[in-house]
Amino acid sequence: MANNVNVGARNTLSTRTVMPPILRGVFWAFLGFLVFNLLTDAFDPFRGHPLVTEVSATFGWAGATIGWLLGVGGWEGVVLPLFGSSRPYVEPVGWRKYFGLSTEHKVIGIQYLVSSTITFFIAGGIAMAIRYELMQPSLHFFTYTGQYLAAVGIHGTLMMFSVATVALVGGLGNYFVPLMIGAKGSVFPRLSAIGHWLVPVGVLTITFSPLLGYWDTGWRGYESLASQDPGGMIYYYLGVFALTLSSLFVSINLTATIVFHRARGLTWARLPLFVWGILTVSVLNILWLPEIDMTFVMALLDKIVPFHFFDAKGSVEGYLSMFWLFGHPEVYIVVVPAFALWNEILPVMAQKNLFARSWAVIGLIFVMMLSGLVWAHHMFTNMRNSEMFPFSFFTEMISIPTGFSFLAAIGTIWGSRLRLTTPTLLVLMSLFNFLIGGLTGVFLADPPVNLQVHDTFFVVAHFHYTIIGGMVFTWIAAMYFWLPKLSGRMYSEFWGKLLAVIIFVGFNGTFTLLFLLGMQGMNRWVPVYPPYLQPLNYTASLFAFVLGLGFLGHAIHILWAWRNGPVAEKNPWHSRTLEWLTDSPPPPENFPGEVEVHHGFYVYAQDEPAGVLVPDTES
Amino acid sequence: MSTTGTYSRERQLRAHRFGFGLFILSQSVAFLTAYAAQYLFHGFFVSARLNQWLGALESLLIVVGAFYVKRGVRSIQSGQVSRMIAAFRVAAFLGLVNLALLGYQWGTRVVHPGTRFGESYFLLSGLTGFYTLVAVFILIAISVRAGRVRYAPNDVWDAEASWIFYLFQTVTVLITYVLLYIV
Repeated sequence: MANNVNVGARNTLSTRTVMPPILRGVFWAFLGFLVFNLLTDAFDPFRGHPLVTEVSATFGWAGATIGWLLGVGGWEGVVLPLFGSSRPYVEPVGWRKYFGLSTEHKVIGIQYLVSSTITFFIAGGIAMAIRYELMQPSLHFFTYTGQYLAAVGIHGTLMMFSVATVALVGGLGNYFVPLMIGAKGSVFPRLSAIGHWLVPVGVLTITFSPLLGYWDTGWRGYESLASQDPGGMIYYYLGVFALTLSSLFVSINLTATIVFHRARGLTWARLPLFVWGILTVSVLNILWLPEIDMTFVMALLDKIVPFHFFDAKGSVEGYLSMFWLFGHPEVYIVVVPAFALWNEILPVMAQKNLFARSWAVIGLIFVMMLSGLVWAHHMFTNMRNSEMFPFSFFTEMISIPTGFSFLAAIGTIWGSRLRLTTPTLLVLMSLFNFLIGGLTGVFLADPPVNLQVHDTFFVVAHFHYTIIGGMVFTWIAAMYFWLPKLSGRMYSEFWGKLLAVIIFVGFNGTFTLLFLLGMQGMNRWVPVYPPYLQPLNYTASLFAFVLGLGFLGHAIHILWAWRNGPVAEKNPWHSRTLEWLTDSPPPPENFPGEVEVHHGFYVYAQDEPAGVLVPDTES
Repeated sequence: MSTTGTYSRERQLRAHRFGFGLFILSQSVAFLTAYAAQYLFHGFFVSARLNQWLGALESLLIVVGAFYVKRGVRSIQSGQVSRMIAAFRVAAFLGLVNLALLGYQWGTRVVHPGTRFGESYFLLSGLTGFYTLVAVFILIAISVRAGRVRYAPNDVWDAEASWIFYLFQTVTVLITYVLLYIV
């Protein structure tokens, strides 16, 4: 294959670039914006209007994105090879490889993890501001309601599209899936490489969108609010477009990698649970992300042409359906890898066979399939009773395959000598949290309850229990679980457990009170509320600050352990999955030989290793 | 890295085809969403003001281009690089003519963008136009590349990928033509 690289064999890329890639990316992005913006103004002059119009800002954004992607390494790493250039491109080495286009899946994974962690704290900081505002029943921190609503929207959008969707799939998925299947690389490394550098584009676009005007639609871009909103709405669409494109690229790469790069003997029946989780989520991403992207293209055209697909002259409800058609699978895109991680970590910590492994996998697959049949439960207030029934039915049905993950987890720890490590503790907390989120989801699937608590803090508490309680707790658990592999170092159990308890108390304190607030009539999307709701809001905010500090503590602790923690054993958890067959951190080509799998990974009843390394004989 | 077993050329090629197929599947979803929206907003209405013949000519250019792309792939498979380059460039030229005709149609504003049908017309024709632009870029890039790299006769993935994308593009152009001009 003269024109294509071998898998895992990174190109040799030239470092003849004058500027560091990120600096060059920023410079080229600036140039790209300027050129595209001015060209748009030249072709489509808007007399009497400023230099930057909504149309020119859209094309300018496209130019900036192209400039940024080329600048961070896309020019040498993608475009020149596409045109058959013989100029070699040497990838940066050492710490520099994390600040440019890299085709090594582990570097890309860490890039995604860092980007999503930074974004988590940006969006989390906004959440703290929201909670601070809600400590008083009237505006005292934000000056205008528009600011508050834009803050809520940016918080939700960043958390959903650049943290929850990205951290487990783009971060841990890119890093660990090839290792867990015994592969030496991924099938489309450049695709994931470019995918990562779309994340900063999306995050910055959304974060600075209020520069074009406050938008008040929330992370859902709801119509008909969107059609009345100023230009900031445009950057919401474009930012989400960049982020979803990033996730789509990763999903295509990981799916092809799982199908074609599994080690010899790694049959579908032996595939690790986390890999199954990433595979099912990738299918969801491939099916649903293009749907929301096209919906956002139409909504964007509504703003800049203008068309009237979704405004009051078009179909507002059409937008809602098209959004939630993606929006509810999105929830499962977020939590399915977490379900898989529960059952990845618990058998290791219990040193016990994974209970009902087949059912755990079937559960993931059926959640994936049913997730596309429940969207309209978000719109019960706009529907006739007869229309609600099928969506209510399927929403309740989806709790059954979800329960399979609980079944496998509980069955595994039942009667075991479970090691209560920090990852174990966090997984158990996640199970508890998601149980609350899931049970309240069943309530919300019932129209009588749904219609009562619609658009109240009850719903806010429910989905935070699923997303933070389910995904974020598991993400932190997985970071501790794999820290010895990522860094070769071990964390402090004392600090890990203490911080786990702190976030558990902070989280449940905050969001249990939000359930109560919702039932007492606290609406979403309002910075001003009746004074009788202040005591609960005040207390919830205090717990939220504890939660925020707890998350910060975890980040500092993990960072400290990564650099200064004691050197870890080669396989400190005595796990049987393949990533532990190699050094920590793994070498560039992952394994110093070919991996062969002889047994399932979750069978602790036998002593034989699940996989073995067959050293390369070619060289 | 070993070039046998998991990482053999044949398996790599299959992996690339599979992955590219996933990409095409994802793009099909985007088109299906646009087609569904078109049906949602005005069913099968067709504006009498549209020039069916011009629309047909635009589609025909893409279909003829597809034959050239396929011929280019066959040429490179039999080691005839210059014929492949020529075929790809003819297809790219036909794509550019298609875009010029689309630009002419848009410029005449026979359908007003403020109407219900006009929205769908500009959305769908703009969408296929954008994909035509991407296809033209790919054809030009691969034809330039073909003059610079050596191809193994049984491994012409670049050219094959161009053909798959162009075929997808052709199918969407034809469906769009039927929806906008016929039914």
